[in-house]
Amino acid sequence: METDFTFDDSGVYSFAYLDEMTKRMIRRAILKAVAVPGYQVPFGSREMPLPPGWGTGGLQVTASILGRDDVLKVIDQGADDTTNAVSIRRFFAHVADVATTERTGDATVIQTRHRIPERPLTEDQIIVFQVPQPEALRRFIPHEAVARKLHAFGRYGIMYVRLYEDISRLGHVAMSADYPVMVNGRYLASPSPIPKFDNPKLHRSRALALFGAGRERRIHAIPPFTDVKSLDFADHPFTVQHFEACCSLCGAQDSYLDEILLDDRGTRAFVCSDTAYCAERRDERTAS
Amino acid sequence: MKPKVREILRVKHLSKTFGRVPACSAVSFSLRQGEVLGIVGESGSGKSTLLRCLAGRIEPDDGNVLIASDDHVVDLWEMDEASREQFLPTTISLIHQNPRDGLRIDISAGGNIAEPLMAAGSRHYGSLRATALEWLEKVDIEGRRIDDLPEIFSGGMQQRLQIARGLATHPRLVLMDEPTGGLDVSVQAKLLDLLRSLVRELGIALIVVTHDIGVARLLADRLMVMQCGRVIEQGLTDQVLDDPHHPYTQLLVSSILQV
Amino acid sequence: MITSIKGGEAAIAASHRLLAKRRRGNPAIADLGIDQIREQLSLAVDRVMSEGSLYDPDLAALAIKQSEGDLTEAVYLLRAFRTTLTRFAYAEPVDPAAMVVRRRIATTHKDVPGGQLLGPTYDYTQRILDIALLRASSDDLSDLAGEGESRCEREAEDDAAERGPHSAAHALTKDCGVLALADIVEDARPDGQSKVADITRDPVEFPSTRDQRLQSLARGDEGFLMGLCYSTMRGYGRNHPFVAELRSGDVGIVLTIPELNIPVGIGTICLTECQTVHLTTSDGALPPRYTRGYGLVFGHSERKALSMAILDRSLRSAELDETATYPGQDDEFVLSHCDSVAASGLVQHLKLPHYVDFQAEMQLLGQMRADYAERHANPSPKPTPGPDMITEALGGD
Repeated sequence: METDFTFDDSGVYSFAYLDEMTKRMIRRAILKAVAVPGYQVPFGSREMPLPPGWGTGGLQVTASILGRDDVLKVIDQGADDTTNAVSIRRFFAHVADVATTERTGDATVIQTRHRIPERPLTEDQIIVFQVPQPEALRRFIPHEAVARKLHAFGRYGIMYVRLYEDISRLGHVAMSADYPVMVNGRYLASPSPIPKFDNPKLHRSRALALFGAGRERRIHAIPPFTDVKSLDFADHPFTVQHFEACCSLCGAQDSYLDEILLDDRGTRAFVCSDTAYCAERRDERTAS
Repeated sequence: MKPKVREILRVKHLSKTFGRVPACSAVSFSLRQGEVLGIVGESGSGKSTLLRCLAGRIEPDDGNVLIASDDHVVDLWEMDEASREQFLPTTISLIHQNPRDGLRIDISAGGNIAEPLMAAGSRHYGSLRATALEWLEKVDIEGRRIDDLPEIFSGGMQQRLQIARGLATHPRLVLMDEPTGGLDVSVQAKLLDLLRSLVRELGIALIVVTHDIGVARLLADRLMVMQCGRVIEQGLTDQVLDDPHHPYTQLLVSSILQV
Repeated sequence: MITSIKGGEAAIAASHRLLAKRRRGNPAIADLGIDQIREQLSLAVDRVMSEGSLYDPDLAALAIKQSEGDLTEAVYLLRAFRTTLTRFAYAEPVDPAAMVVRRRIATTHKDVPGGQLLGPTYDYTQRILDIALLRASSDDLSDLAGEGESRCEREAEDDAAERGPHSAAHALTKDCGVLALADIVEDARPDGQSKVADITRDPVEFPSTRDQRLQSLARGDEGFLMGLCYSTMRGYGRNHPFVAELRSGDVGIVLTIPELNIPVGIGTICLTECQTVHLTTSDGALPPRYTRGYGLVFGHSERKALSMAILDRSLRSAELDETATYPGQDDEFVLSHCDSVAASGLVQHLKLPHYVDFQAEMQLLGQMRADYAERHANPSPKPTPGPDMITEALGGD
């Protein structure tokens, strides 16, 4: 397995790959982010052995907070065995020699792309999100300088215009993932491209949530027990996805489902996107 | 110094220089609730610069812009930027000559009216919708156009929509820069009628910058004539236009009468 | 039967094996040596060093070999390595005036102090495929210098031989030719006065400063910069450059050892420097004059240095009171998108699984299609705007 890596020189690279000065710089950014919930803290993002856009932000955050006793879980699309999750988990197993797990309950640090696990997180856990675009205003305001001013002034009318326009044209808000949230009643923030199904899990979550955007050089955070409100109108409240089906493997009715295409005639089935949750449910059923 | 009751704006010795060219020199005046002030002068006389200083867009080099808030007086350019940006949207509204500068052209008419309301904290779709319809009616745009993009509106309609957007938050002070510029004559007349009735109905304080003496005569209670950045004459509109004292004002008035 | 698919781990390992196999190609053909790449694909090596922001021909050659000649990938390999290196000191600013010049041209005057030196260039080659190169040849080495020398040493020697004692490019100064005309050309920015930014440590915030821009452009993707530069020249930018100076050659690197406080030469690197002048009249406070653009890149890359200089000038619009209308004048647009590593990363991340957000969007699509079907089954009283209504709107009022 070692030979698959382009380097095999323990001792040359620091624990968890990043040098100590870099980790300190990133930890400072994280502290600032935790102190100002939802605010995007610029940081000196480094090149990582993964392309930017593939989770380098999450990777740097994880590398900076990981200790030797941590137990790491890495998921992509909710699953532990997607190629990207495998690749990142192997990276940390190699450069930090930390224990890894697929069981959500056993992990102390969870790095994720696009999902929050179904099992509620605890105050002993940190969840690290990979973020392609941390700026929720970017789709309306391409210029960074302008967007930062709007954040500073707390002027988010333009974001609500999007909601207004969707409702007037379509009858509902046409955003299904990366659904913007107000953090602690102050900053508009991107929850990363999680389905809006997962948004409520962020509200007053017991776990610390850290968001790393490597390519865009920003870190933001949602500290434990922080109010997180998905944008909506009083008369058009925020709703989450609802599935008619249940998981074909474990029968769960409360989880986010992946669609599986069974043939080219449109036959399909649904399974839990959170593979660990699904597996644990099936184990419990077998045991009982 | 505190403005008197009902006095809503007091400008003191406002000056702004671009490079070596003074755009405004020691301009002072005040404005009361419900009053319409016309600022006339040829292009380059500094009237648009003055307007932008009042609107919080250009910082003057010197002087004060005092605005009556609910129970106290604020100095627009003494505030820090964040407080100013908080204060401005609900207090002062700037209507541009070109409606495209004041509208979001890719957002529906209703969205354009709703945006400043949402920025001010409104979070009820139904009431936003109702307010938008109400304002469309006020500015004589059919309610069925609420979801249309202003892109497909005529120039006159776009200007009326901009006015609705600017007034929907009930600002204390409305600033208009050549609101009828670029419109043909019949459309101008209609728009002026609309503005007159809105001003009467809402009792807003309005400053209209124009180079068109006709617009000033129709709208303004008082008139201020500017030349080379200075106020050279001011008074009641009829007084200034019927009995101009300054030679430049006389020239302005005579040129319009010849037409 | 539905199963949750496992096996990502095995697939990745297999993929790496296949990659290694493809990289080696036909085993009957000799393996490509790093030295061969370094010596015979030197312009590729230069580009990788330049965009990788690391001057190391051997590692750049290794990166090119490892990436099967995918230069964007090679740039990234070098960058990822660079970021792990200890930053123990900053060198003194390099002095291009002291460059051992291999090629130097100035296009504003026929004769310039220091003279013109054509040097190695494809500029005046006829672009005809040289069939002779099809045959691997070991003959005709008589012109070339002896074995065992690095490309830089060899080239420097060649130049000296060809130049002869009376030929060009002696006595170069920092600003020669038109750039020395201090009355019509703006001063070069003061150097060494304020702390220079380091974009690899601190993120660029906008509006940017010129040092941040030059650093970003120096590591920016050559193709992207060239395209943007082209756009400013074709009409999207009112940019009228003259190449006042283009030179390429070796300069010494000097490091002041902190503990000893003495400057020590630690080696030479090959650089290409380009200075452009642009007629500027917009700023009313100053008389019309020439303003400057500056480009400096590792290795020999004139296309990149030129593009960089011209973009540097077009990005100074705020400083020079020019209205920035076009992409090539917008620092945020250029700097945020010129990095090939970032661009390639985001573009290619689309190959990652997107099951979750696609599923979310499919649900949204379903809802929108149901709404659409319902609206069309019972048309509401409010008509959607059709062409007739638009005409009415434009004509009416």
